[in-house]
Amino acid sequence: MDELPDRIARTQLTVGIVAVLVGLLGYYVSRDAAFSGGPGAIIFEDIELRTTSYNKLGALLTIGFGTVGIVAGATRMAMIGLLGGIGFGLLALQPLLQWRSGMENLLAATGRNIGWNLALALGLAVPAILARVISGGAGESAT
Amino acid sequence: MPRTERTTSSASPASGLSAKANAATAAAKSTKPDANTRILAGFRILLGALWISNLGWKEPPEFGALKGFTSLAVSNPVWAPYSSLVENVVLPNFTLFGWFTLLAEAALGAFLLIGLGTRFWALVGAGMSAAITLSVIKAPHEWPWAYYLMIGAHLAVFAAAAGRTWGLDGLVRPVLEQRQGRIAKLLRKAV
Repeated sequence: MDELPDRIARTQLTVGIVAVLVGLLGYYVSRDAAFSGGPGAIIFEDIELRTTSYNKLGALLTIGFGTVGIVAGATRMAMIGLLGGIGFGLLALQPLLQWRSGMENLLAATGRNIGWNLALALGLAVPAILARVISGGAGESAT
Repeated sequence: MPRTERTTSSASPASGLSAKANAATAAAKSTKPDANTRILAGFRILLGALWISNLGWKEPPEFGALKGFTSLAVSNPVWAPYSSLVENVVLPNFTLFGWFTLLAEAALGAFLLIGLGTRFWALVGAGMSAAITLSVIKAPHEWPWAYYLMIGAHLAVFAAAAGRTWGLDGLVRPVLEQRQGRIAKLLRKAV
């Protein structure tokens, strides 16, 4: 069994890789305007994969925040992952803000976005906070 | 910025890893996942995906499809008190109920998917599955066993604490075990 700091880094790396892969897949799918913001039937016809990640802007943001997670895991600087977690958290809030403001539908606004992006936000932010806790708080390095 | 240095089993005080990290690490080493726990972790991920996937048809602000299914509790009553609750409380305030359902299921799916607070959220999932069961099992073309299985699946994930493998609970629990106090004790029950 690995040590806890190793597992924290590996968690952020894994979450980041998953986000980037989904974002890349989403970008590929959203090249077709018919899929952009709409149902992306890429595995089976009856399975919709509509999330912000399957929208060109949403896909790019997912790749960006996922890359932040990869950097955090690879460099073992867990607090960097908090930035990615905040980014995904904002993406999770986006459908709610968009609905309230009546904004143009730039990103596919479904409940799936809230759930999916919240999961990614937790996956990057919680390990960052844990790293902070086990390192003894602000200013104390775990190195 | 704190940096989590790669550690070895012989981490010394000179490595700078704090006492808290050492203690949490020792607790983390006490559990090694086997094939059974990995299968249950996969099961938890599947349940999380189920809830997130089914948010697609709960579209605000009307929540039309959700209202249709909820109304089945009145048109095809399973249990009279529940049917009365839906008719007199839920349906007249459906926008509020729709948003509550959307946010609760999004959180449920996200926390089960990432394996954080798994035991707590598994109980929430069992409760929500029970509510769905009471709404729809008497409706035409429904297969009641699907809903019984949903309840059972969440209880299995609860009993197995399936977030400790491939989930954030596996990171959080060792830290919580080093903490005293009522809140830490309560949180330990949730993970």
